[in-house]
Amino acid sequence: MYTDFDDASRSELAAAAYVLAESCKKFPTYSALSKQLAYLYDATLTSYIDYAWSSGRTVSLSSNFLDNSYALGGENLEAEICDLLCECLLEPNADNGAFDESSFNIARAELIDDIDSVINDKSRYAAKQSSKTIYAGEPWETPPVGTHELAEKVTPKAAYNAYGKLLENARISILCSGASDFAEAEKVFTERLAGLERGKVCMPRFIPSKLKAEPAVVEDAIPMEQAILMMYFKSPKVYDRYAVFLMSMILGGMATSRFFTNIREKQSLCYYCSSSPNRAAHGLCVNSGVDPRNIERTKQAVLEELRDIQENGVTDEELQNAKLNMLNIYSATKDNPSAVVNHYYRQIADEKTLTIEETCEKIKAVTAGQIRDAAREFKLDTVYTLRAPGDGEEDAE
Amino acid sequence: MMEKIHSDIVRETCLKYVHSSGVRVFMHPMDGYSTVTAQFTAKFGSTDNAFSVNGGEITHIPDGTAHYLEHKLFESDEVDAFKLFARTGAYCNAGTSFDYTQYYFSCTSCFRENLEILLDFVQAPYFTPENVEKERGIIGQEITMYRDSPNWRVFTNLLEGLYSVNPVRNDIAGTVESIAQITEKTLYDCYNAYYNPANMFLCIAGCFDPDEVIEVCEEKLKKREPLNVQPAPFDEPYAVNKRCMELTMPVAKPIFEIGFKRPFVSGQAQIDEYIYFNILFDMLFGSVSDFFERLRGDGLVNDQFSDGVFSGRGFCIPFARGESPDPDKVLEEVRNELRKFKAEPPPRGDFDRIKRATYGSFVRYYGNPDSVANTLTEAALCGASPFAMINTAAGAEYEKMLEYLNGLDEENVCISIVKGD
Repeated sequence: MYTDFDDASRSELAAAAYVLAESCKKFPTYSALSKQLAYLYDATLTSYIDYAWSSGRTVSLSSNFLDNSYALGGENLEAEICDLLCECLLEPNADNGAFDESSFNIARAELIDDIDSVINDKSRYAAKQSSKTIYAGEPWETPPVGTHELAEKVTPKAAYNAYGKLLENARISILCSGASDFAEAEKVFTERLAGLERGKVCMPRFIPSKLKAEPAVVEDAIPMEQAILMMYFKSPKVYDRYAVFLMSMILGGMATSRFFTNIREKQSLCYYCSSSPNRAAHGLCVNSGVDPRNIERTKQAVLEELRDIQENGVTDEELQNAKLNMLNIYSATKDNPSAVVNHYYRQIADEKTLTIEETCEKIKAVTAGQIRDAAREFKLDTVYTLRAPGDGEEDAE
Repeated sequence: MMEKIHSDIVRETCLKYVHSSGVRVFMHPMDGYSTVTAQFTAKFGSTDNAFSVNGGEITHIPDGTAHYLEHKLFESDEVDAFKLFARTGAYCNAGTSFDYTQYYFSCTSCFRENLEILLDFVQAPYFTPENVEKERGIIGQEITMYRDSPNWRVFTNLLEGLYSVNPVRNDIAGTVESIAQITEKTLYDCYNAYYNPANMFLCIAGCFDPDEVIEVCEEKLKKREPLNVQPAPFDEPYAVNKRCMELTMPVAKPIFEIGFKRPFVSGQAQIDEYIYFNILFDMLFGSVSDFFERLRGDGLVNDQFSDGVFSGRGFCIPFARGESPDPDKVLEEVRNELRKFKAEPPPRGDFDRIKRATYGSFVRYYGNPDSVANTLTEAALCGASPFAMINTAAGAEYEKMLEYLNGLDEENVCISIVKGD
């Protein structure tokens, strides 16, 4: 369910998402809902909130379950699970315009725990902290679930209101993948969603993140042994999606990438150094775990690799290897129902939806010239380092 | 000659073939898939830190050697394995655990070529003083990365708390100090001992032709003199080493892991232990339990609370873990719950529900080549049938589960806690 970004309701919508996967009228406690899922052969039911492209958020309610053919008692699992999803979505544990207080309080406490626990994972912490600078003044500046302070203020009524708006305005997509033809799923969703009252439906838009006039340099410190260096590049004007994917693979997205080969293997500067594109923001994130003494050398080595592609392009072998690698990833998608769902989910905002085969054709068509041109559009926006207080002030000799 | 092994439960057939070198090959062709995953595994993990060959003297090796060897095996005096796989588009990687090291690839094309690369590079070690030295800094960084992870530290501290002697108490990657002692000779000694074909197996699942696998194995697998490699025996006491392990590092809320020390068993008994304790702990402490609902309602645990069994060659640990403002209170509640159900066994209906869920979770493993290959490898590691896990889960009996419940010593437990400043 895609909905436009709204700063005020960040944590309200997040709390609502937690409650939806916690219980419903028919199964009013988490334990009752869990027992039903266990009975349905360990089916899962989860909710997830995330940024969607640059203009909004998605709340996903999803289930993973056995194909009917494996049900020992001949149960129609597909119909039962789809009905349960609809129960949770349409008949939440709520009364008088507010979620049930008991369920809500547990959900909100766990939302707050989730927000706070980012410190437990240094990479997640670095990503969260660096976002404040990378996306300053933009929606992505703050996590999609909001902050501890915002979450504490959410009431059962406010969360229910956010949920109501979601049902009214969200662009709702239903994605199914597996061995079934999903006729049962279609029937259940058609019937259950028929009575939903809808208002103006939100439409996703791509809004690239703004490039800073000068790169921002941020240093952060918490007790830790390794340091994390994150470098964020932006290409606000032009973004050739498939060329950028391949460029990112060549730089730091595969086992023979330039970062792996030159920065890790040849120079032994870090344990990992990877790059990943952000299509919605027109960004490219380089993430590395380094000895604090090697931060500056690693930064220069990353810049040098990008500069080399900007000036000299990529070799035929690099291009061929990156294409083969990506084609292998896309072809393997077909064996994984969750990956198939993700393939289509990522295209919800696109004018034209591409099949996996069509996507593979787009990748095959990318030229070395396109990659060089795409690389030339990227400029350094933010350099973020996280390390122990007072650690590694001097670069290694 | 190929042996067919069939499971009526998942309606799948797997093939077993033993190459003349001694390498055991397990194949699970899967119709309608486009991927194939191949895993080449040596029974050599971080716990194998002292061994004898053919009854000779015991060789002690530095902690972290198996992992170090894994890093170096991709290198060659010509083209390293990563580059060869890159030319076919296959995804390749390796991993070292407590009791094995595994090299694997997955691909959607060029299967034969990829299998040839896998078998070639794993059988062609190339260790030099220079390339071994070059890796030390990288692995040192990997070690420090894990040291920054509270979830890893709470787990490794639990192992240290449970065991006094068993080498599972040592970190898989070793320490910066232990890896400083590793040389190319250490790696060759271990390679020659543990990468003996009789100590290795190949597991393949997905879209492939089994006859082609046999052709490649016949062509590529090298025969070597069988060796009798024996891990040095150790005398692990029954009781836990320490009842509580605590560490301070940045965390939002204390995280904990509670582990019960069990005598080690192998083969089908190891599978039984794994399945029955999973069912038992899911039933008593899982999201369906009254225990979980009560503690969650009291704010003692949150949705991060989980249970399971950590099991391998030489260890089996039923555990519960999560976040809590008061981990010691959670431990007390866990032990009380075990005592309560020993006195008054849980309803049979609860067992049936969890048995059904466990069956469902194992059936799902058969939904993609990676997890099928993992299942084959896990079964091969403990010397059980390829379908032993799902067969045991589907045939689990209430009375036997009660035997496991009554046989669990709730006093022989350690809690590992990581607290914030």
